[in-house]
Amino acid sequence: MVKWYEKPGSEPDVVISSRIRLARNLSNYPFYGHMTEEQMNRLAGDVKASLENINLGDNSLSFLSGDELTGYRGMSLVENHIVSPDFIQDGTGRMLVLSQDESISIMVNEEDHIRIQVMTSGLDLDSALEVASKIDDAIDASLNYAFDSQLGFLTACPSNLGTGLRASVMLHIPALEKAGSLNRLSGTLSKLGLTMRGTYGEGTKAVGSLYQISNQITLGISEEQAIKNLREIVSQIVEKEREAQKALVTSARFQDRIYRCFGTLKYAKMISTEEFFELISDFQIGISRGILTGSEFQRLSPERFNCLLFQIGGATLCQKEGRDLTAEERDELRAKIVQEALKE
Amino acid sequence: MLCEKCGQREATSHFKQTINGKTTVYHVCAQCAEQMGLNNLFHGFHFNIGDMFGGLLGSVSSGSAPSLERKVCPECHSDLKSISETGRMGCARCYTTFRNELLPTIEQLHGRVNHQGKLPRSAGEEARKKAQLNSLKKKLEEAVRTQDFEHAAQYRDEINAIEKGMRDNGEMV
Repeated sequence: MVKWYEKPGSEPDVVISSRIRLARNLSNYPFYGHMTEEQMNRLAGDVKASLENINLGDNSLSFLSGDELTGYRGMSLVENHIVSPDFIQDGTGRMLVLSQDESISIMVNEEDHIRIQVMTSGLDLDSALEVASKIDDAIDASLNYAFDSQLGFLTACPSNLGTGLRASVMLHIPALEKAGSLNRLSGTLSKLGLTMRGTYGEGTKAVGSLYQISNQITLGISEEQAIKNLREIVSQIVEKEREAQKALVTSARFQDRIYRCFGTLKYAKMISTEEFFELISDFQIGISRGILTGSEFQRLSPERFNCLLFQIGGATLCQKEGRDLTAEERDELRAKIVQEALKE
Repeated sequence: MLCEKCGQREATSHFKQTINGKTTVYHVCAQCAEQMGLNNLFHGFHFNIGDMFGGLLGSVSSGSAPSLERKVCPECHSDLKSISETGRMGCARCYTTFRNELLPTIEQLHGRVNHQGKLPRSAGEEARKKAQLNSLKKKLEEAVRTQDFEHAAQYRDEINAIEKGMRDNGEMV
């Protein structure tokens, strides 16, 4: 089955993916960390039973025990944001519910009893919320959620009280980053109740110019309003990034850089994760802004490279091959996958 | 440089994380990096506002009367001290037990302390209908404002149907 990240999304030149997460707890069990193993297993069984008859078309759900998520299998799920690093540290009493296309994942007995997560490619928070709500309703129909009329859905950490909703969008914003606009942007965002995070990297730069913007506040704001705020801000950032990219590509030196990235991506025999992110970021600008001309570039689209992000992680490569790979083997395989994407 | 976490192996991985303009630097060895999940591509799960919550609550509870510290949740036996240390509640009942102590901190976090949005089955049928009505009324207002009369008519019909159902059941509308 085609994975969610292989499907085309809207605004693919800037927005990689959208994600909705709902935090839920059941009223008849103590929170995680205060449960016995027997209670955790019973809770996982309850959740499984509540989802057994849900109709998700051909995107059916699998139920995986936490003990199965060890080694590269678990790490690959972390790399692709399907589970948290904490979740695979100790699989005891835990369960992962995962859909065929990996767009839906439900962590059972993470920090909260139930964490429903839905991902879509590009900017599409609405359909992600729709799917998450459908799952939420199915669980709510047979199990009792911990809820308080003043505080909303009760969560282990008070930062998730209210809707328990965390909506986030992953953006590729290299031009705004190069223009030095991100400090001011993150300051503005925090005033609007949003937060921006770069992934780790060199200096203050996030690797691959990838940033995640999400809502910080969950209490006193409805799901629709939270998503609307986020979507409106993201749309503005998308426009600003496009303008900045257009300005950037007028420079002959930057155009040279784009072709050099292409050369390495196409011919290198080994590519480390770090190098991949550096190269793909500028190369994507070249594709999006139509700098790379000629017949071999005509069929290339930003979508084709966005989905690579979810295929080149070290553990994900091991998972693909079904065995532990050495660092060298991983770099070779990564280079091969990139070259396939350029060829097709 | 030695690893900041284990203090035994050489630190070979250096990470900088910037959250809303604040930068934290980690110097760790490969093994500790893996344990911390730092060697994956998107370690977004790591930032935890709960740690901040513990700090906020700690500063509130340290000034509180000694009797408060002896108050214990009848369900899970958590006290305010353990909650502020972990930044996590022990169970749903903790919110009832420590409501007065928690509310100022919750307000600091969210700016508001009145839930808006979806209600589960456990909130009761009447509350759910009222919330649905409020949400439809907001949508109706918005549709009228943008002169989207097709949707406005649809929302109006839905509102009328729910209100009629509530009146038929003898509920207040």
